[in-house]
Amino acid sequence: MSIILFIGRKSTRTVDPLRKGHSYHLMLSVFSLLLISCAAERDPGSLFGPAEQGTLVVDATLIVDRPMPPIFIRQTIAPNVVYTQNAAAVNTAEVIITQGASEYKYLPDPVSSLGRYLPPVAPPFILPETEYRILVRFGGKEARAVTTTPKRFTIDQALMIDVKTLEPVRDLITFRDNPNTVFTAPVNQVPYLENLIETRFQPINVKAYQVGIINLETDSDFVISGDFLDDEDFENFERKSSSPPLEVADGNLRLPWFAIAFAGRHIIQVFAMDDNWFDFARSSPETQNVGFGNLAGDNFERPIFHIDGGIGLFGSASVDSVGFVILPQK
Amino acid sequence: MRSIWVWLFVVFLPTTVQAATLSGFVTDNSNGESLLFANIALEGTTLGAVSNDNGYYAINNVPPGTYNLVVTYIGYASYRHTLTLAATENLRLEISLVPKTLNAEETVVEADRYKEERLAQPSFLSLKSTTLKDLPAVGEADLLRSLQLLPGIQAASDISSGLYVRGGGPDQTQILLDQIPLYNPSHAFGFFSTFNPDAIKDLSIYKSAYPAQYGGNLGAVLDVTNRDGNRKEVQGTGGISVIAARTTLEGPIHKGSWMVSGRRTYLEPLLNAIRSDSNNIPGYYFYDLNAKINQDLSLSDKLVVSGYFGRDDLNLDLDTGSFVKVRWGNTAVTGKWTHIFSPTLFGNFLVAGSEYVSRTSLSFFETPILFRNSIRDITVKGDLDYFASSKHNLKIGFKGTRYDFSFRQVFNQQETLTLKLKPHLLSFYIQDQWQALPTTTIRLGLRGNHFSEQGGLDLEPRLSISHSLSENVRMKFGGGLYHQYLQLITTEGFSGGDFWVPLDSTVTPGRAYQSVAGIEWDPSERYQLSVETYLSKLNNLVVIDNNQSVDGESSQSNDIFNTGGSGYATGMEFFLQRRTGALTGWIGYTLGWTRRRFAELNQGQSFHPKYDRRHDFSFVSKYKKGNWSFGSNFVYGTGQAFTPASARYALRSPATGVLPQDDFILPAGRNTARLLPYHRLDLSVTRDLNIFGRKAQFYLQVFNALNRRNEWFIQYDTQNPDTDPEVIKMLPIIPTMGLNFTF
Repeated sequence: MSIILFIGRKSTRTVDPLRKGHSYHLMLSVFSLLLISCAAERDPGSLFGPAEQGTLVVDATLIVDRPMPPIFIRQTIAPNVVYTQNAAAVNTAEVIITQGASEYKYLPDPVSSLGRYLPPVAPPFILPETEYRILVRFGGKEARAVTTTPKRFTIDQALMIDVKTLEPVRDLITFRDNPNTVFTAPVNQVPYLENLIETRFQPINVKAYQVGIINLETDSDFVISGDFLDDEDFENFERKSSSPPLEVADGNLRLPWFAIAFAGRHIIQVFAMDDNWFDFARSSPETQNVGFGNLAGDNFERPIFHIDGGIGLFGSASVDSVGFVILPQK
Repeated sequence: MRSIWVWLFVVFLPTTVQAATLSGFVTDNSNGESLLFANIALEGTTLGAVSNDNGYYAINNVPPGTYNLVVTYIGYASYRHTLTLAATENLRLEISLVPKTLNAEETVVEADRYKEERLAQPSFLSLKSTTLKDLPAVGEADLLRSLQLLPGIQAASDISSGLYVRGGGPDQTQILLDQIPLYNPSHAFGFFSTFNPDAIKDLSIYKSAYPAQYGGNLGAVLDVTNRDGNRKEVQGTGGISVIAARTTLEGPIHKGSWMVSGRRTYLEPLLNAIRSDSNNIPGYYFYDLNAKINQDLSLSDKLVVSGYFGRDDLNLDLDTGSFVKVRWGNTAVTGKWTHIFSPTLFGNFLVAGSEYVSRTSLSFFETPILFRNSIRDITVKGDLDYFASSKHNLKIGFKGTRYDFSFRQVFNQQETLTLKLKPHLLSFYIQDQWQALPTTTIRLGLRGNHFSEQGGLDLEPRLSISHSLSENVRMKFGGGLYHQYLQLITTEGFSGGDFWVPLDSTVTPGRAYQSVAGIEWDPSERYQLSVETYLSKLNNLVVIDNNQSVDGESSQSNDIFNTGGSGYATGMEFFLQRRTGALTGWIGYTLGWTRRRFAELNQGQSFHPKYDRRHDFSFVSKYKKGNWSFGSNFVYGTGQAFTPASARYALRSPATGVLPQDDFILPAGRNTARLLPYHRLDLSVTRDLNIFGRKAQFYLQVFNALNRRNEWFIQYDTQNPDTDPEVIKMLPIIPTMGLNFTF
């Protein structure tokens, strides 16, 4: 109708009132159709892609100088189904970790039904700079992955530095110095927001490090506050959190105060990650803040898994840690 | 090789000894503004010319005699003058055109001022600033949003004024103001552009296959020219909208003119009044200022100095030790000297500086974070127009730009990334517009670029051919090779953080082969119809690597970007305009495809970018009756692409050993799903008034009059037992009003 108006020639005839009324009815009909089509609602199910449920999910990380750990095997579930650990658990898979000529057969945890598998009795310690392979078989599917553990890693120094001058204020006692006094020594009592905590180490041949921040208390108070935080925000703070991957090229890792939410004893674990762990950590949903599909620049991207025949993480790291106590602000 | 020398000899063949030359400037009689691409002809001969992009024309090789000179330009009364030229005479004739007197029923859509450029060059469109102001808008008339209504040009969302032209993103579009690039032409996080409609004289856009005088980007070129100022009298215009107030003053000075145009938001008093300790109302404002001064130093010399200054400032105070401050802005200053070496040799020489600075300071619980990005450049540029003969118009030019890039990222008082580069880009070009036949115009060009970070010389041939099948029907072809050396990192919905990065020797610069073919039909002055197809093949594309470490120190291009991408964009556009009469406007339709492929993305599979939209339709109209004008825009587009969810899974955090409370969403193939179609109707009504004896206009506009909440993006919320994804919607119905006035 619009095109007809657009290129119609000017007429010298008297306009017929009936035709004029016909035009008004047409316009009204088109406008009504547009209004009806304005409700941009859809079936939520149409927002999911082809379901990939039943894909094996390998959840296993090896830490140098620690015993071969329990691991988890799960599977994906459909995107429009509420996720539960029971629904996702795979409890009857065949799981084998090999190192060189040695094979370590994992068995389902008899107590857990959440896809947890235990290593053999008296599991070996994880060696540095060593290749480990995992094989998982379940329901006709097979998942494989390889990790090469990094060399050993140690933190040389933990200290407080002045927030203005960035000069050292004092050293903290580390677990290597005296593990029994880490949480009782006066030098390790750190008032919240006073100065900055820094760990220093010799970088090793890994692409990046990840920091785990663990509050050992169960019910200590918050040290953070802010009028812009509501109750729901406070509920979301957890006593264990981690950083994104950090290159720390100079070996000086400074702890940001926003990573500390609670008072009490803290352990900061610095993981020197292998390539698998690094690739997953830098592309993981937590790092990418996934939940937003395509807000800008297509950032809803599949993480890097390095699992053939499945998804998940089979990675390794070396770790060292420091401890201190956060005191609430006066 | 011999044929090149023959060609050059023919082009530069000395003029006939007895021939005369006619030259001068074409200007608007009412205000002295130069008129670009006016048609000048000697009636009854094949001799004629088109005024160049400075309003200068030259007709040479004119045998002595008496002629009727006819000058035509849409929106102006034809100019006729009888003149006699003696042998070897060089007559300087300044032509002043009188704007047409419009009756109450008639409106001239001045969209075809650049008709002569449109005849020679495919994929070229121009708009007058009055057209921009007439289109319904949200809050403020906006140049970039108006361009989004044209075929082949899309918007990513209601929030963004970024241009997506023929399958390319804002990073591939070059935006120039008085020949100088603006690196972030947006206010309000991309909602508005930095272009004040009151300050603009004209704008033109080459959607693809742009000619040799431009270079450095893979997609489109938008060339905006500011007003020169009224050479006849001092006058002022102003306007108030719900967002901002603006005013423009202009007038004569000595042998020239001046113009100053400013715009600023005025929301701060309102925001201050409602801000309290219990809410976090941010403080925000933007302003821009355009200024220009012209002087005729002699009959052969003109000097123009112009400047643009714009800033955005956001301040959000959350609590002690927690705040967000974002400031960004552009500054550009240009000095241009125009010299007429001879009646047939015209030159422009320009020195300009442009700066874009973005500074974001954050602090959360006493942890400071700083991002600072700046790009400064100094450019020296020269362009020569040689009106060699009635068949050949040569353009030769050079450009040298010295850049100073700086990017700094500081986290918790540790410098985590510092990038400082000072590359330079040297370019030259030569172009001949050859009237091969009375019905055929060939524009042949060659551009060469040397970018210091890359080394070497990139040669870029350019070609366009226009052939008239009849008086009103033309076929056009065009194409060329294009490179891009700077890469824009942009975020839709938050353009304050945009920054540019030069591509160093670790990556190959982006390259595009473009081709277009089309047909145009002008059955009358009232209607114009064009159909055009395009194809662009892209190589060496880069895209920001979102998986870098947050403290990554490497500033090399192959570490910052995923590189080696390829892709294509192809499609067809249909454009029907009604340009005169009480009812004016256009219908545009685009059918298009675009795809990309990167080894590191989507597991190496090719994918559609988000802004790939198969069908795009626009209907723009304006109806003028007496003192009333009624406008409407209707746009319809099939859904943009998004990545859907394909599964849910859970993994312990390896650093803490804890299984998160919320599971993760596994994405399906990248951009394999589509949002619902987008459509929107905007309406406007304008009333011409007389306030204290001065012309004024009151307008009421309704953005999204049907209140359709179009889909913007999908959010998969895993924090509650509900699995329904949330669809984030775009803007609702927004009425605005304002007043424009003159004084």
